[in-house]
This record gives sequence, structure tokens and C-alpha cells, in this order.
Amino acid sequence: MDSVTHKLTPIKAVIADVIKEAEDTVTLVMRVSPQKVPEPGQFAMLYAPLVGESAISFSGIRDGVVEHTVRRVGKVTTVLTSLSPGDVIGWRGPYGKPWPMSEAKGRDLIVVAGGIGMAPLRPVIHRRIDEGEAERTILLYGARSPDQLLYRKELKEWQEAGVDVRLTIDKPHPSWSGRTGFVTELIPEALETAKDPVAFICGPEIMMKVAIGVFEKSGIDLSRVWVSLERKMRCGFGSCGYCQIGPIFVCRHGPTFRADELRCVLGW
Amino acid sequence: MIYYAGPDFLDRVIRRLRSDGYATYAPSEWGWFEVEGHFSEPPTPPPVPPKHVLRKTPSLVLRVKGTRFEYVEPDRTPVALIGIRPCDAFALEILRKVSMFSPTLVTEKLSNLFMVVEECPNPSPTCFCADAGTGPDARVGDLAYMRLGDGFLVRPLTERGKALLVSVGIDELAPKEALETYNDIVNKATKRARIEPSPHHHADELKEATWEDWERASRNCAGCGSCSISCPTCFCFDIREVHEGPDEGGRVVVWDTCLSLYFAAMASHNPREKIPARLRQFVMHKLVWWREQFGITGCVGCGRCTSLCPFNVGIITAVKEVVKK
Repeated sequence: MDSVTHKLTPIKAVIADVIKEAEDTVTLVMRVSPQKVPEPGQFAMLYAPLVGESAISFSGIRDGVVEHTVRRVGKVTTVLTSLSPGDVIGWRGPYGKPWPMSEAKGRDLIVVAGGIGMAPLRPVIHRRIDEGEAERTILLYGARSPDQLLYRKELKEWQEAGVDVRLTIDKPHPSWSGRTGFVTELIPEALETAKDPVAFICGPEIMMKVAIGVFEKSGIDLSRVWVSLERKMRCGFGSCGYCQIGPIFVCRHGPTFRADELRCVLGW
Repeated sequence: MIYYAGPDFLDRVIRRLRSDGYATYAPSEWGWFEVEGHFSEPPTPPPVPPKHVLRKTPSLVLRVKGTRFEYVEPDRTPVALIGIRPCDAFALEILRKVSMFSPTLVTEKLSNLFMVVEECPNPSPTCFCADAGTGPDARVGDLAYMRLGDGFLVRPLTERGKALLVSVGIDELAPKEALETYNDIVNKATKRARIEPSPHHHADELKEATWEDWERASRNCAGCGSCSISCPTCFCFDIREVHEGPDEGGRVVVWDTCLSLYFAAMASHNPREKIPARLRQFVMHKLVWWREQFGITGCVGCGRCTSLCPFNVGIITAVKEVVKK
């Protein structure tokens, strides 16, 4: 059996590029050689040496590089968001269960993202475009304000590639002429377009709870709705016990869960 | 088979194990100590569970020099726990099961662990090992013994245990009267090592318990975490930084507790901000969710979570409060 120590040892990740997404959010492009190729929906433990470690999902997966989009919210993410190209940090992963891309293959997919919850869904959009399923993909994406929308340049490219991108901002804003309101309010309309869809959701917990309710009310079987959950983690592989909810280890059984299964555990 | 051994039984066994390369530890009122020979009867149970002997925390798991990360080999010295109580021995078997799912801080120590179990003639008022099915007589381990007058009644439980007895020349079968006395003591102890309501027999009520029930159960809980730090099966750990210079130091693991406020707290929210939610996590994990995760109970009935709680909360009181409504 592996020892905990062995599994906790990070490898080196070299920062190749840092893309500023918002005032407090960056995408780190890093060169790293993990033993397994990461899948959309998985995460890694990013180690700011002698400061601490954070569980961060993959926001991009390309040959030889991975991307992690990080928002500055605490001690570790303050270091991670102030890195420059050439810097080296610790990295271990990939961990967790990916988005079930095969469940969505050949079907309409509704992607519902709130705020930083767009990050783990970005590789899903990339994959759908690569696999020629852009036109069967609807992205509903909401943020608090226009400057908090991530990947703004890419959103246009996705649209051009055939993805149905629908954006919303929580409250009216002088620089915003698009829709306002919560992202969950866009779901009923999307359901008019999508046929027999699968849905992937990521965002604040309350938003995911509401979204699941909307899908259920619209008659969508919750076994076709998936969410990605955030929990504090120390190890990432089911040892430290931090991320437990009832009998579930979010790091191992998730972070992506089928909505009907998660519901019983969270009491939603 | 039960054998009779004279007053030098522990001396002989410990000397033998040490010459075989084991570090030999025994429990006491003040924790576990390395022993070289006979020791007096430990408390029932000793306050410190054996997980703290197998992994002293903090312990270094990573050395950091700038951006160089060096793996720190865990200590693999074989350990023999002498005088370990039946509940604690069972707890280590539970951690062995947990380790099959994912490694714990004690995994490497469990692979070459030797256990000489001291059976319990005098369970404490907070002991409920008989309900848990873990004692007061030994259920797991390599060798079990009970003190009887100046001598010992000894039971090998594994081939290794039997071989050890042979190697120290203990081959005198216990006389019939001694066996009767032994059975009598075990029967009496079994009757005492039960608690009503038994924490192990109310899983359904616990699953149905409301927020108000947990508020009532936790009204004296300070959230200090002594219950889970003293629990022999609690395996949660934190990883912390240590600094030895501007860009030098490392990472250490420490046993941790889900009773602490920061345990589940994220930047976005804390799913278990209130004490009732944290006590519920501890109790439900031990008595309900553990079974779903590992196919075995997480509570061995040692009673430490209640007896060592400054306010006598722990599993015993919490279950009583939840069940009494």
C-alpha cells in the first residue's frame, strides 16, 4: 500500500503564462508532466511553497500544458494570483471524477456556470467544440458584473464555433446591454431549444441547488443533471477526511456528482 | 488454548520482541512509553489511543528548499504494542480496513504491527465494548493475556502469537479452575461493558434526528475536539507548513478534528459553522456513515469521547439526548 507521505509529494510546475481574467482572477498556464492526462472536471493540488496548498480545478487541458483559473480569496490564492512566467510551484494530481463527457456525447448539453464556476466547465466547452458538438451545446453563464465574466475573448470564439452562448449579469450595470438576472432564470428558455438534454452545473452552492430545482420542475430526470462541488481539501485522494459529506469523500467520489445522488446527501 | 505464565511473562515477551527488532510500547495513565520489561496494569482504557504512538504528530512529510520538494520517508520501525486494550486493538483493525480505501497516517505501521492485548476485568463506567463487539476479552491481536494474581492467563490469537509463546518457553496449559475463573471474570466484565441507550443500537433514530435534537445534544459542547483527538479510529489530518529559514522548511501532518470551526470552512462558506452540525458530523460518521464507507462501525466503545470530554458530551451523552425525545 502507498504511504500518505508518498502521495503528498508534489512535482514541479513551471508557470508558462499568466492571463489576467478579472481584477482578482488569473489563469495560470503551466508546464507540468503528470503521470495521467487530466480530464475535464478533475482538479489538482497547487502548492505555494511554504504557504500552503489549494484544490483547484482544471480550466484548460492542452498538450504539455494545463491551465488553472484562480481567484484571490485567501493566503494561498494570494500567492498563486501573483505568480509570473518562469516561477515554479508544487503540483500534484490529477484527482477526482471527471465530468461524464460520454453521457453528453451525441446529445444536447446545457452548461450552467456561475462566477468562478465557469473554470471547471471551460474544458467541457473546448472538448465539445473539438468533437464537433458545438451546435448541440448551450452555455448559460452568469457573473456578478461584466468585469467578472471570465474568458471574455474566448466567449466570442465559442459563439463563432457554434456554441449557443447566453450571458447574464446579476444586476444592471452601465457597461452592460445584455441580460440581467440570475443565471438560473435562463434555464427554462434553454430547455425550449434543447431536446432531451444533459446538464452540467457549477457555481455557488445555492445557485446549483436552485438550478437543480428548475431542471426538476421542468421535467428533466435528475439522473441526467451533474454538478461540481467545492469542499476544503488537504490531501485530494480520500485520506485526510476534510471533504467528507455524510459517507461521501468529495475528492474521490466527486467533485462531479449526479444531482439525484448528491441530493440525498446534502438534503436538497 | 489458554496457557498459564508466571510473573515474568511480560519481561520474557518484551525482551523477545525487542531482540526481534520491535520497538515495544505500553500504555499508562500518562500516555504510551517505550518499555523494556514488566509494567503495571494500564487504565481501562488509557487516555491516549494507540494512533498517537504509530504516528506522532506533527511529523514531517515534505522537505522544502526554495522550489525543491523532497519526499520524507515515513518511519517504518516495526512496533509492538504491549498491554493494548481490546477496544484499541480492534480500532487498529478498523484503521487497517480504512487503509484499504486510502492510506491513513498509520498505514505503514500497521503492516508490521505486533499486538499483545491486555484483557479487561474492570471496564470503566463509560466502557461499552460489549455493545460494540470489541471486548472486554480480546477479539483481535496476536496474543491476549489477563492478569490473575501474580501470574497471567495467556491466549495466542495468531500463528505469530503462538510462535512467540513457544519461543519464550511458555507451554503450561492453564488449570481447569483458572479457566473457570477467567470465564467468570469475562462474563462479569461483559455485563458491565454495556451502556443504555447503547450508541450502537440507535442508527435509525440518529438518521431521523432533527436540528433541534442536535442542538440539545451539543448544548454543553465547546467544540474543543478532545473527542476526536482521543478517538482511536478518527483518521482526519491537517497538513501545515513549518519554516526554518526564508525559503526553507517543510510540511507536517497533524491529527485533526472535525469539531474545530475552521475544519470545513472555505472562502465561500462554512458548511458546518455551528457546533450542533460539527458534533453531528463526529457522531454520525462514527455510528452511521462509517459503515457505508468501510463496511464496519467506526466506534469501538472505548468511551473516551465522553470520559475525556471536559463537559461529558461525546457519543454516549449525544446519543442519549437524541434518543430520549
